[in-house]
Amino acid sequence: MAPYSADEYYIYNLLTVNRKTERRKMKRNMFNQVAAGLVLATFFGGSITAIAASTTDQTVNITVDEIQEISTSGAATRHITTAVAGSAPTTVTDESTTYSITTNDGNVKIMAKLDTAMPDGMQLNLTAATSGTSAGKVTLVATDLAVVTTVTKVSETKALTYELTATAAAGTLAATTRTVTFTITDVL
Amino acid sequence: MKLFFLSVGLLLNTVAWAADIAASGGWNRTITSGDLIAGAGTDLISQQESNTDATTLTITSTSGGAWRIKVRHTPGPWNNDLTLWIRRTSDGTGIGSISGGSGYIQVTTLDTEICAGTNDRSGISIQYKLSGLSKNVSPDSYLSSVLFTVE
Repeated sequence: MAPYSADEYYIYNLLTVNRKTERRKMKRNMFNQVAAGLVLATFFGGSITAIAASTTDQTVNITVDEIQEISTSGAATRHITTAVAGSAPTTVTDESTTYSITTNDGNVKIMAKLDTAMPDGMQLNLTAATSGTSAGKVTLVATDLAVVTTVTKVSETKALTYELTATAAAGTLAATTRTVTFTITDVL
Repeated sequence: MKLFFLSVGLLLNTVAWAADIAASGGWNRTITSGDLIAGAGTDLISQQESNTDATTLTITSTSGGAWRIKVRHTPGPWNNDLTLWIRRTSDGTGIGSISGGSGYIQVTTLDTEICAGTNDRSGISIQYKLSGLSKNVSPDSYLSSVLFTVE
């Protein structure tokens, strides 16, 4: 150690003591301020708790199936009984039945067919009304034919018009039944 | 400097008091022709509801404090005709209180408060409702991630 005078030692010691005192004060202040924070937080606990959020999630999964439903209202009965002399027997029509359809598809068509072919000399024609595009008058056979060519996202009930025609060559025919089957299919 | 140490105190306290939320369940629903109002020729029933306890929520770590639950959803593939609703159908159990959310609340992409309460609580039942169903909703799977937040 360098030789210092008594006064110099006194000043040196005074400075050292002051520094230590300052450090102690600083530490005490830090402790007090953190403690004050904790006290404040505890006092206002309810609102301070709200600062931190916790989350959780759930999945809602909705599946919408393809819906293609069709039904008809009942049976149509018609009887050809007359003819104008020199002409074919008089055609008869029936507008008493309807069909109902619901589809959520963007583009479907309605097909119709007979369970068995009509007797020789006779025809069964069908016109299906629609909000889409009708195929017009269609002569039904035992294979599927489109009676409505395009319909999109509908729920509706529309008229069916049947027309029964015969030629003289058909002769006399006992009462007979034909079943018309309607099918909805996607337009490819 | 003072502000810094005060903040440290506040932060320590806040973290210790954060409430937790847990959920179980969810809702899966398939719409079929059986959901038509009256068969062919009629539209779909426009609203569907889940079971009353489709989701069960549990709130813990509240330290007896107050909390509130908010809800929002993140639609996956979704149809804009469809609207999701939610309501609280039971109080659950716990020593605190719970209130709000007994009527349906629309779930949007923004947080909406559904209920509030105090203290830990378990078995809070949640019911969902879907509206806007019709023939115009194309066949598909629609997905929504429903996010519950407690704060």
